[in-house]
Amino acid sequence: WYAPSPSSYMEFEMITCRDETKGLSGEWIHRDNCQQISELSEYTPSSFDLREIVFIAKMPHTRDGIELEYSPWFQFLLGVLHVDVEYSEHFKYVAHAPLELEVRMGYRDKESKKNEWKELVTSNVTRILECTIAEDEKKAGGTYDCDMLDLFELGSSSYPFYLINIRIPINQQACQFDNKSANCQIGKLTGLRLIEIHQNGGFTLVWLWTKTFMTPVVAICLWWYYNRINQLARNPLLLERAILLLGLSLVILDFPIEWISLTYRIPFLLLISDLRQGLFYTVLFSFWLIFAGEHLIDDNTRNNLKSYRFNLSFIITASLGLLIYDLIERGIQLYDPFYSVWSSPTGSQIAYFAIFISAISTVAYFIFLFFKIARVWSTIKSKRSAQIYQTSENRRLKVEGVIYRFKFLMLFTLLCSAFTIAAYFMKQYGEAQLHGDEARDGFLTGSTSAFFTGAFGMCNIYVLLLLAMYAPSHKHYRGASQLIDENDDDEIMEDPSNQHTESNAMTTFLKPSTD
Amino acid sequence: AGHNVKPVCELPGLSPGQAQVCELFKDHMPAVSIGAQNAIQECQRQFTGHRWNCSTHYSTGMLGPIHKMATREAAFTYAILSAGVTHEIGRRCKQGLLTSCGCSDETKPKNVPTDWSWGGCGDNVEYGYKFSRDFIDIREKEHDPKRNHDNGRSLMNRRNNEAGRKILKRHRKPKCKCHGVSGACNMKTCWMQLPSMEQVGKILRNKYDKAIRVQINDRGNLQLLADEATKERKTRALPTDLVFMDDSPDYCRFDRHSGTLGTEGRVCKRGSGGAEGCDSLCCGRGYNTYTQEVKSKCNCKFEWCCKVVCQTCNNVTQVDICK
Repeated sequence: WYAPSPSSYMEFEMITCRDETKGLSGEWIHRDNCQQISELSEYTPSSFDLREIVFIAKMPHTRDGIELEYSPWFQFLLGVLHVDVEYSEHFKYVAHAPLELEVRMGYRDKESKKNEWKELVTSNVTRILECTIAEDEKKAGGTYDCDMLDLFELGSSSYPFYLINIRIPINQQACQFDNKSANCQIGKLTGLRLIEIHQNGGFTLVWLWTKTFMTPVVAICLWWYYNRINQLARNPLLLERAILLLGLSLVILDFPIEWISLTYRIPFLLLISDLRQGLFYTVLFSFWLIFAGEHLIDDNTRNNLKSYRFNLSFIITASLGLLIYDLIERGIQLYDPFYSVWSSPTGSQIAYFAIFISAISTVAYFIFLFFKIARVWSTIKSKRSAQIYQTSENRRLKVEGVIYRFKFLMLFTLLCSAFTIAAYFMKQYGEAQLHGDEARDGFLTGSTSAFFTGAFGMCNIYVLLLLAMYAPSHKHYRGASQLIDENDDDEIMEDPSNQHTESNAMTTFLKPSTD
Repeated sequence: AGHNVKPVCELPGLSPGQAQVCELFKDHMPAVSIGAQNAIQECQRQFTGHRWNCSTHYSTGMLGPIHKMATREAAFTYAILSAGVTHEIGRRCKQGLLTSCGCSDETKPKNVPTDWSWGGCGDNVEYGYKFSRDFIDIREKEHDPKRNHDNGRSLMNRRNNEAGRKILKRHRKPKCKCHGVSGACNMKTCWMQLPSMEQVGKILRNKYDKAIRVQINDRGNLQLLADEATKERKTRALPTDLVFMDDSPDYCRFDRHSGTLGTEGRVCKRGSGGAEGCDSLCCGRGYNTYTQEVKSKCNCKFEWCCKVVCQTCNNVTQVDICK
């Protein structure tokens, strides 16, 4: 059973048609009423208004004589535009030229007639055209290498067919007045190519079923963990609350809300899944911090969220920055799929700023985290070598168990993150292989989505393990009423009556040092 | 452009097998002819000012028997023609003009509508590649009694055809788009961009200079021969290397037998030491100098993309033409 790669693409070279009405008639130009212009550079427009040239593409293509359809399983549709610009002495491309497009996107239902297109969105799109050319290519016929432009992003692929009409308006007077205005400096444009990207249906299926299976498992575990904590006589510790929160965010992340999108149109799904992922990662990062910090025995300020505020502020800043960016970009795209923050100078400044701040915070966070983990390791090591043989056999076993649990989870954390990173690189490599010329049957090509789901499953198992291993025991100590923490006076520990108090892992670990 | 599809399949240049494919894929024929035209144009651009400037008996049709001898030039022509056709077919697939283009994934979908929604559709170049192989190479596989091409020549042509297509395929450039959370690269899709015919021409031009001489051995296979200049025998040739068997004829003179047009009447550059210089191009026969009044466009003003308004200027220049 072959699982496809997460996403695939279809390339469209837009064909150019002549429309004398210049788009005023509101008629859709499609393949069947297209008066095709075969060579754009040889075409002489009848007037100066170049709206009479229409670039069209019908998505998807017909293949093997069968009219393909988009399915709701694709989850999203992305459009990327390649602009082909040829070097011309007469019509020079100037760097950072603004390109303005009048885009009309229509859709058609399966039942409707062949060329009965309905309006989905009409938009004026401005993008900055960034092209480069080698010096020796600067002759007639030389081509620029242009960056691709984001064209549209649809949060749901709910119609089977789409039609895109693009016109490139130009205002001669505006150009003479100010050659910085739109479309005056875009060079000799020879064609537009559209690349549409969607999630593969097969991948969606695998993904959705994974999520559907995982959700109840994680939910039950979470419920069990919650009960355990509730049965305790003491208030839950910070670490326990953090784990609870992590489990909760995982349930939210896992919840297979996407099933609904297969029957109903919900364009905001992309935004929601972004938010869910963001939430999970924020909680996960915070958890790591607390996890490491709570094992830092010599620090007396534990079990208090306030003591982490300095480090936590990094995570908060990073996720806030990304949240703002995402809300603007994806939020506005709900109304206008052609919107992009990056297209306007102020917008791109905000976006750059948000992402820059987030990146800086994330890096700072990781530096602090690794610093902390290193400290925990060294403390544990020194404690262990100092006290382990002084204590009774029972305690020694328990301490060993705590250390072992910590080490195991630490390693698992590392493994989990390593796996995520590895999956990422495998994916890149697999893609490179897929598109390489000869090496087509590589082992990695088919397995990219396996890695993708694997990384996801790993995350789930990780959280499940945390829930299971850090659940406070209830069997023997249910009746205990006294809260004893390591921060309390050491004398209490000596009291044999307190032996039956349920304590958290670190209390147990600390005890030998006070004995 | 504006090709009339109907008589295309009756062109004299087509072999019987090609005519059959043509009947089946009539809508592909404009693509074939435009692809071939682009290829020849590019060939001529690569060889401007050389004794051989890609001028062949082109009147025989698009893909007719182009060269009489199995020379380097033949190798180049075959390679660029097949690359040109592949290129144009691939382009038309992307334009949606050819409905029979396949989902040319490496795992050939059995059922296109369901497989497409399951795992997507592959690159279109593959289709152009296959079509070009089927259409162009079919000529080399059939035995036409009228043609006295031996087996070696057929093998050579097929190899060069393949080299042209391989070069086109191999020089595609990947472009990627990240589309994960906030545009992060945890989701990424890549696609391949075809090189332009100009790039292909440039690469083939290099291959032309390094073309390898072969001969046919007793078992009917192509065998590499030692290079005369370096006396170095290559042990293996890449699939993208051009191969040839015969020495190039003297392109200086018109010769019906070897199929050369000669350089008589060609414009040369006086005083230039390169291939386009009169000494070289006219093969020592000398040249006549004419005074010519050339009307050229000047003081051009452009009006967006496709329109340039120019004045006409008269320049008097001297032209050197080979005797």
